Amino acid sequence: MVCVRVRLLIEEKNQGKHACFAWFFFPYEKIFIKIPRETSQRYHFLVISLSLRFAIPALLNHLKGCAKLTSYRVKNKIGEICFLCNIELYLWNSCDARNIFLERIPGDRKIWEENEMNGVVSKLYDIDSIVIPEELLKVSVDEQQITDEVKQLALRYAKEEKVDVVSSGDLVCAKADQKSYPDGRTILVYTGLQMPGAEVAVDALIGKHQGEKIETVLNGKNVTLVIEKIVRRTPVEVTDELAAGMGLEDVTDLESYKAYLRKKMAADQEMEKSKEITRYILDQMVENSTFTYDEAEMENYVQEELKKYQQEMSEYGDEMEDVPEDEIKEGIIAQEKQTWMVKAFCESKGIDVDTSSAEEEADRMIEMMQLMGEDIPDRAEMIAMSVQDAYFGALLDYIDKMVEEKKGGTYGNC
Amino acid sequence: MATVELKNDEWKEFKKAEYSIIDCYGENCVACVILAPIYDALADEMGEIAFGRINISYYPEIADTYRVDAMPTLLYFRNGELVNQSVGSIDREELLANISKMLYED
Repeated sequence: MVCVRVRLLIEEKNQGKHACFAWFFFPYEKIFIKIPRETSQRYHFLVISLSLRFAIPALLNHLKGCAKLTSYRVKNKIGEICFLCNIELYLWNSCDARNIFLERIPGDRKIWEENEMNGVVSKLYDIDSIVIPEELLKVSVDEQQITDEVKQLALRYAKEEKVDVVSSGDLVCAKADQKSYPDGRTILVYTGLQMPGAEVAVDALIGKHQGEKIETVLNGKNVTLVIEKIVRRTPVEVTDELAAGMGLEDVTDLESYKAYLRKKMAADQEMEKSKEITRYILDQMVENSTFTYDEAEMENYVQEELKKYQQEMSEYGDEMEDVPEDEIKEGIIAQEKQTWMVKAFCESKGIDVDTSSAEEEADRMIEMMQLMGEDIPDRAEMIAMSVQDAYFGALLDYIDKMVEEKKGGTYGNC
Repeated sequence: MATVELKNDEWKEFKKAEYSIIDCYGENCVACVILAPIYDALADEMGEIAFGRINISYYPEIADTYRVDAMPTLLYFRNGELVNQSVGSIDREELLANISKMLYED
């Protein structure tokens, strides 16, 4: 399998940034990698999925919105943009990771020799017996959010006028002294926005007149400003006409705009809940099924995976997090069990994968790789991966139907 | 001021404003869709800064010029000179922090 190594930076609010590595199984959809993340004094594992533009829609729907998403623009040998792909996060445990960056390391690729771990499900947990917690099924829209959105609209279409004295919310255009800003740029201070570095200046400007000179601090630097212009934005009234004029489908007045917002928020929430439900069901299936595998073989497999991980750790040095070995092992084993469980589930339901479709998919990927000037992987291996993905897709479809039935076909409709 | 949709090489003139930001987006880009309303809201709220948007799937020259290989990428210009760039669907807070750098940093 041809791979491109990528470097993953996970940044969380108030928790800094840490780097991990991942392998982009080009041109396949997934990065099979265990990403350590600390939450509430314990580590979680995230599985990163990389989707190409031809990725499986059902899978993408489950992954959408989990994290910061980035699409990649890639050119083929003759300079044409060949494909784009999105980075999605598949959460091993439900958590709120955000700001995920994926950096492609140019030219850094290698032939990945994937280890195989054999195992079977000796007793598959009955998926139909899983009771989905009510809180995961409930979708509700906060009316305050609707009110806030309407307020935002009033601001978006605000009227602008020049005034003489600065009030909170005004835009101040000023000239700085030559020493502070030798390039003579216009200093813009938005007194109504929480602009980092401008907090002191905002306080200093309130109540000042056009033409007045003030001494303040901007971005940690002492500066003298002369106010040139003060612009006041007055929010407009959000009327039926304004709402209708936005050109949104089925929005003809303010009430229908609110209905549009409600529907959109419910859909967003439904998507989030859907991911949580999927994760919950997958975890239940893995936790409650019984697996048979060779313990020694598993230990070897885990050690091999650990070795790869530690090797990468040493390459990235301080940028890598020190993850407890037990946590890594737990994640590796759980990932394997899930793979076996998915296959066993499909067998139990008599779901079979259409081999010719899998072959077509594999050939399409190989063709894409040829276009990209990549080394051509083993076709049988590509087909096997395609089959595995199809099995997973079938389980996701089944879960979707379960949820639909549970909600009486009204899931997400508020 | 609403976000301006840029075509062909319009970005070359657009970036000459005293302060301008260009959102490089593309087809089939979920992250771009997530960023768009945040970006557009600030465009409406922040007069005197030019907010633009260009589809680099159709107009890749800007991407080649500034080595943009991920979408969305925001390019921050001061008097035509690129002073910063950010990648991905950043939130409003982060976008404001980046704009602050463009406005106040040397």
